[in-house]
Amino acid sequence: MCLAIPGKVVSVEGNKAEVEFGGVVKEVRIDPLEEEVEAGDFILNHAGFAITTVSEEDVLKRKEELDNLESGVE
Amino acid sequence: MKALEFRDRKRTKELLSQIEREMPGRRVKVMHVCGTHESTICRYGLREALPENLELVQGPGCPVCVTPTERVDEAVELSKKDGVIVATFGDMTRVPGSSESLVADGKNVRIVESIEDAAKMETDKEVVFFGVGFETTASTYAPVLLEEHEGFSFLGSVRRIPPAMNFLLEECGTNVDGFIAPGHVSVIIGSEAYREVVDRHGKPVVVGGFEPLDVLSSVLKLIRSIKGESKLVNDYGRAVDEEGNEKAQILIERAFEVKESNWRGLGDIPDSGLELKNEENDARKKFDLDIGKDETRPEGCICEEIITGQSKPDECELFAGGKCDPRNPVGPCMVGSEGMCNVWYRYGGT
Ligand code: SF4
Repeated sequence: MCLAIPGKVVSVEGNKAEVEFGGVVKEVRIDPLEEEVEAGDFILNHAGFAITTVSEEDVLKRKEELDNLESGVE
Repeated sequence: MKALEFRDRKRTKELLSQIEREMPGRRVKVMHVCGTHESTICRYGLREALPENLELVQGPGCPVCVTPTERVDEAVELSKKDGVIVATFGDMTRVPGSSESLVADGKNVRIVESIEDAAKMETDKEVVFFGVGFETTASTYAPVLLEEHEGFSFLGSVRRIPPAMNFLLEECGTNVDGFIAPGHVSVIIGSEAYREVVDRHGKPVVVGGFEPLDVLSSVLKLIRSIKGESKLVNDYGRAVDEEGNEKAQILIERAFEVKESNWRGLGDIPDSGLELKNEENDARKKFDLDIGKDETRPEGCICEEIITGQSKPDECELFAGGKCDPRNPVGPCMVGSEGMCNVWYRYGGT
């Protein structure tokens, strides 16, 4: 139920965006989003609504974090 | 988005060894509060791979499972009225009410993928959207509920997670060493929403993501916090921040009012419910539904113990005996993809 699937924004119009999920494009409402999105951005979709964006920078940061867990640094 | 898949096998093994090394010399019980976490745990066999003295249980993290029987009965009653269509997510149509589920008759029931599909349904009947969920889903309901839609109303069972975690510790004597908090609820409410669990109850909380490495990372951080000082850790920083999605919070506040709410397995929890503010759109008021609390429970079903983290599906005789499955669910925990019994059934359990 609280499953949220990442997708890539293809285009934006008003409170809606066309978003691609593994090759399938769907219309998603973006009104709950705090930030503006544009084509190429990644969002998490929950039940037809984008609930947050995920940036490439944050994904890379996570990779690094996961690589350094043994050191105990958070 | 491949880059979002943190599933590297070698790294998984390394993290499992690290957890083993850092385990305290006693049993540790961890509760997560999300069916999606349970899916990751089962799908990747994490429970089996983790140290034996580490117990992972699912708490009340399945919105379908915690919806009380009377709410299902109200939806069933509405679906029998002339001129009404009940629209809902697929899972909700199969949840057993006190005598039947929505699919039993099913004539006036429609499965939709979002509340917007329900609000825009072309029909001359009144469409009632039966919406369950936590804060994540509330953030999708709110924008539509704040719009004007002709012939559309809402039957809700919408809830807030942190009051339920506090309630488990305060009123149910739930004995856990720490929590993995649900990542997508936290996207909306922010990691600070669990502050009370940590500061007042002294239980560490780690907000966790849903990839296998995310779950292992959260377990490791929780163990460190259990051994040391109880802390609130945001381990899902790529989607969650301290304050959460404030725009979504404002939408939720405009559409819903915080009230006491009855949870299956837990009972009435103060401030845990989100009730529709606009009474004109509230199907319960519009159709004068007044079904009191219903204590009917399917015989032999131990969903209530599963929801409160006291039991796991294999302790249910109907599960073990193959008498309950997703096609013929006896209790709500077998119905949807977030229910622990359903997850165990699909991925072979443990
Ligand atoms: S297996 Fe079926 S009967 Fe047993 S607890 Fe789960 S839902 Fe209830």
